[in-house]
Amino acid sequence: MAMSVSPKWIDVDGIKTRYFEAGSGEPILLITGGNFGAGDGASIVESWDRNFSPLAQRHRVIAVDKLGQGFTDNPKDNDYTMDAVVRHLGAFIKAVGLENVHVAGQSRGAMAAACMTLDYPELVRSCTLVNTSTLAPGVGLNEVMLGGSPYPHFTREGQEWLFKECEHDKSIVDDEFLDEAMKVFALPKYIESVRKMEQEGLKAMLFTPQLARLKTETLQRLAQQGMGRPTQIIWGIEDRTATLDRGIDLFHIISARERQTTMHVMNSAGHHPYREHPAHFNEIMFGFLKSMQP
Amino acid sequence: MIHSLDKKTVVIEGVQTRYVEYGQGESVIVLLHNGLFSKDGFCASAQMWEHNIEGLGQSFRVIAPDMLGQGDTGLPQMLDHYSYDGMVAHTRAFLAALNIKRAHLVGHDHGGLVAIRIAIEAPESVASCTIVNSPAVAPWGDNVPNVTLQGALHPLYSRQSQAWVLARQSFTAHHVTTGQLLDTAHVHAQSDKFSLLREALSGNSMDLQFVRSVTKTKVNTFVHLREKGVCVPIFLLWGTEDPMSSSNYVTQWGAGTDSNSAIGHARALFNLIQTRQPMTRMSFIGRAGYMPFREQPEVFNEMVSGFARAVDHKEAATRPT
Repeated sequence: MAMSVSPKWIDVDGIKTRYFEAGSGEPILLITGGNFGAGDGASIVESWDRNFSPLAQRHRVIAVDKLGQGFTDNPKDNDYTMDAVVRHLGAFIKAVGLENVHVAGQSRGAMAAACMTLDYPELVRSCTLVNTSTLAPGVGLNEVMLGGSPYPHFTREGQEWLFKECEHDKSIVDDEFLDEAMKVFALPKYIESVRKMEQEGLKAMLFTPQLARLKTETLQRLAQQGMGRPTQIIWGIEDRTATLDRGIDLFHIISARERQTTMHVMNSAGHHPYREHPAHFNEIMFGFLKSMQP
Repeated sequence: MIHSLDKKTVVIEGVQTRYVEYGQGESVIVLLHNGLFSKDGFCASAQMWEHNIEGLGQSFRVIAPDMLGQGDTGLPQMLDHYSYDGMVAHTRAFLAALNIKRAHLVGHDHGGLVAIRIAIEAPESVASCTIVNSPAVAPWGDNVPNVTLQGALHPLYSRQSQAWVLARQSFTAHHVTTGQLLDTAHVHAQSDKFSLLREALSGNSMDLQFVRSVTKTKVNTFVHLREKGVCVPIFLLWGTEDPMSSSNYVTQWGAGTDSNSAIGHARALFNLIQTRQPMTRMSFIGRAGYMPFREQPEVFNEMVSGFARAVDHKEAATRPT
């Protein structure tokens, strides 16, 4: 199985939440990108499959299905917002009993990681942000580069097309990765979330405008109060949605107020550098955590 | 923390060469310090790495020589060895004399140019090449000359003047008086060898020789990187607030991402190398200047050893069994 351990389940304020956990030591929380209700391609927690076990050799590693993604329940009360995603993650780490968490998020998950660091400073020890158009200032190109899939929703071909568009090394979009996504596509609750986002218009009328407001607020908070925790940015340069320029702009905003801010740029890597260069990514994580030990 | 470095000696083609050797491990990291025959008002030596040798030595065998004509290493025996060619030849002969068949090279500024020359000339001996804040290697473009070290404190090479150089090159200057770098540089500046060095460099012809050596080595390197590429993994490691980067006047207007000139230089080099080398990495250390390994040693040490480990790991995984 992709994550090498069996999933665990926990009730988080009435949301049945699936997660993977292994290892011991300082906890690392891995946060996937994407959002609920995406029928053209599902971002799945198994994208961390090349990092989860290696990192667990030295740390307690938790990889969680975000609200409405993977096997975790959909938002309650039609609260299809990134705010709800962040609140769920905050409640999740409290429910699991984690403290001094090293949060690491990619893409939309990096927005969640930054918000958690700002909203729950008592629980977060450091922040790692990976290829994130969602958080970086400037114009995101997701809809330009990834729009207009030639395949229908909920298909293996659609999933494969979308994720191959994101990567440098297309071969990392392998059968195992597609198998896991197909399991998610088959879940009635996932199909319902896609219906709500698209047919019922929650994406255009609620999720997207709320995310835009959250982005403005979060960048303002980073510029004015700062992250307040050691922060590193990791970027694959062949990401067509989140260009390196924007990653460096994000670095400048954070570095201006955070004493320990670093950035790592990799070539031959697209939107998921941790899958394309797992040995480098894992060493970067080990080194980052070690460098902040007293 | 190592303060007083215990140096060994080896004679390389008649030049007494001093070096530090520390730590154990199959994998070797060689640290090449900056300085072009101490021309910049400071007597650099392996002591530059005093906050790194022990940290890196946890999992690597670390070798840090005093470069040709600097520190406790002797002067070139021929006038035309006062050049990059001389430094590269001396460093290669040094590694051969220590029977180091393969190493991760880490070079700061001028040491970075020596490192990448070795990666180009003798790639089989280089596991990876890390270049740290290196105006010597990075494309300079049309930027105005750097004036950070103009108007140095007199007398030049006094203890105060050398402290001034280090502080001018830094984002935060706390590291200037921690450790024994300044004491060591002061001792070197007082030595007879240093007087001989200054004498050797005093003629106008030497200035011309340096200018030509720098230009020739840089351009040859650019051409090679552009046309052929370098076949070892490359790591560019930059403190982002480096006063030794060009004082590009675009910064006054705060225009765009590359208004930070240190990042701009690093990116230009990264773009040049990465088109032909599939493992090219570039990391930035915020709030650090020209010597990030002294300003933020823990962060630097973890980055360098992590990169070397990832390269070794990949090599082991692809090695036929």
